[in-house]
Amino acid sequence: MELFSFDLYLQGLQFFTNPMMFVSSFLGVLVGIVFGALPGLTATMTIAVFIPFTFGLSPVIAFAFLLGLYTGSVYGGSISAILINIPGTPSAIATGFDGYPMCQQGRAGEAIGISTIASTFGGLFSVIILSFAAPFVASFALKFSAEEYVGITLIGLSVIAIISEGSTLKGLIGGVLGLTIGIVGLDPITSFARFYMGRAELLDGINSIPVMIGAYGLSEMFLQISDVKHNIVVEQTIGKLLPPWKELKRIPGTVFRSSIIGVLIGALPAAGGSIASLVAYGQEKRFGRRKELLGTGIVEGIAAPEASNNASTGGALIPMLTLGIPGDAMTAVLMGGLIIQGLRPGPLLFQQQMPFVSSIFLSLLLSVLFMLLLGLFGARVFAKLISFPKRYLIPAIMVFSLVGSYAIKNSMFDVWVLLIAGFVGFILRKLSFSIAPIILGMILGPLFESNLRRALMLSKGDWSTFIDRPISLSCLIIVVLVLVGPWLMKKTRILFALKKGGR
Amino acid sequence: MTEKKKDLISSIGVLGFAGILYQAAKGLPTRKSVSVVLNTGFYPQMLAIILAVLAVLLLISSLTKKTDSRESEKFFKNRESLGLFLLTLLLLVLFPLGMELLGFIVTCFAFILTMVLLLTGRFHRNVPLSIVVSLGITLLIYGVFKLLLGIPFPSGILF
Repeated sequence: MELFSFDLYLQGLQFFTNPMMFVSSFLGVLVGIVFGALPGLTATMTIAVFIPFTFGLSPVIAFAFLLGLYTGSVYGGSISAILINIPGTPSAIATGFDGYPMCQQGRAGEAIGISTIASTFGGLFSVIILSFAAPFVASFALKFSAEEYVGITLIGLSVIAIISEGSTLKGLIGGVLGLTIGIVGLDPITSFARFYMGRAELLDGINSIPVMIGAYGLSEMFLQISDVKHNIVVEQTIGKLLPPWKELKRIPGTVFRSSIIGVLIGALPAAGGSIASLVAYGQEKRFGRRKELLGTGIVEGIAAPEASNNASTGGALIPMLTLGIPGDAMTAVLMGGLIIQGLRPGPLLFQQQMPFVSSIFLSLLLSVLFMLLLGLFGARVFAKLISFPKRYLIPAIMVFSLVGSYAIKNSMFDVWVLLIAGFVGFILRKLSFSIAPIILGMILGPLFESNLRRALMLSKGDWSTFIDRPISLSCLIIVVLVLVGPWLMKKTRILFALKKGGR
Repeated sequence: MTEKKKDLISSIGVLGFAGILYQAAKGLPTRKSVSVVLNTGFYPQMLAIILAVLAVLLLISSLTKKTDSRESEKFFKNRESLGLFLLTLLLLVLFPLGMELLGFIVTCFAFILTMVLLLTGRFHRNVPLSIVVSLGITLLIYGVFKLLLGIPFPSGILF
């Protein structure tokens, strides 16, 4: 595979002679910001609910829309975090730490302005890194065998189990439950039908899109109803959008540092924008020039998490596109959107569909630019959205989910899958399970099973094949470190504290 | 419900599921002459065992966990929210049935209007506005999915 050739990056330009590329990207960003700004509606849910809108569109146009949604919703989450201290999406949690105090000082508009500028820089930075790193990683991944894929999948599942809400054990159970969803249908090795309950629709496995829409979209609506959140209405007004120059010139260093953090964390399998933004804020607290003022409403406190969470978008696309392993829950859902277009992410995508991959780089770039424009010129309108009555929104999202699930294959069966997934998702969330590991497990299930069994078949059932290969062994060591590391560190700290106390 | 109680319920539920999965996987065809990996039941059984182990670990950790009543939260905030949830569930189950019987537009409009009225609460209802908004959302969804994306909805006896 040819690397770092400009030709590689220009192959996607041909698609941009079609105005629909611009329209779908713009609409994606617009819808993404709107839904991202609404408290309680996560970016992952937004992408899951809107995937059915891309049926019938060509893969490039569909993905321009989905990437617009992705970029827009990650950015949109900051608006409600700043205005009402409720992050629209989990990746905007850290934005509220300084965004809300700034809003209370009557500088809400400036906070949104800083968030827009930092997000744009983070987004642009991530596009550049993605477009250069992805072909390199893909060419490296071509050398991977079944053992390595098993190892990387396990890293993804263990990282998401650690970082998702609730206990690690529940995260791991969620991941295995997700893998279990993947066993319905034909056995990839023997082609024998498993657990299909006599339904022909299940021979190809459970359709992942209705499961994702149900687990994220419908279950969220159930939660809003059960917790009586549908009655909450809040209002905020914003003033001027750009802070004075003396404030603006404080952020370039913060933004650059946070963008690097965002891309790196985003590129780790399963670690996404929420971790990236918290780590970037944490780094600002350690190394920032005005670290003692963080939390009181300063521009650096908004710039750090926002640059980082938007930089993680391109980073998270690297493992998804090159290895077929999503970087976080949002990219897991995006991957679902790619699969229904008949495209299988992985290193071969770069060999066989390079113009499409190239169009992804350009679409992401375009969506960042639309985000800047919409963020600066539409901030006042988006601020009004947080007071949009949920009594209209909840039924609308429910019908979108129902109709969207039906529209995948024009099958009522998928609607029932959606309803079951929504109900089960609601019960699991009430029991403090996180949905992200389940979805990641479900998406990775077929890849994990086929590679695990292929490796074991070739080794004649000898499990040591996974530790004989250096890359595979390294992956397994990382898995152990990820799972046992926090526990070991905690125990060591207690031991040191006891020793100190004993002196 | 406290976190301890949630963990207890979760571990028992997952353990039960793992048991059923293991038993069901046992029923899948097995050939003695080939490697165990080639058997259809191998992978589901492996997952069932992993799930069971994790469920037991969760059970142990929940039994050793101290009960903290401060973290207790109700499954449903109040009786009305439980009622609203059950009604929503019923409406959602009726939606696909109604779509096949009455057609998409009628079912969609009826569902949205009922939900809007239910969510508004008895004292703040504005029926004309609710009808207009419900009709607007119905037409928007119909326009996008039927006219723009060409999805063939079941027409039923109405439309």
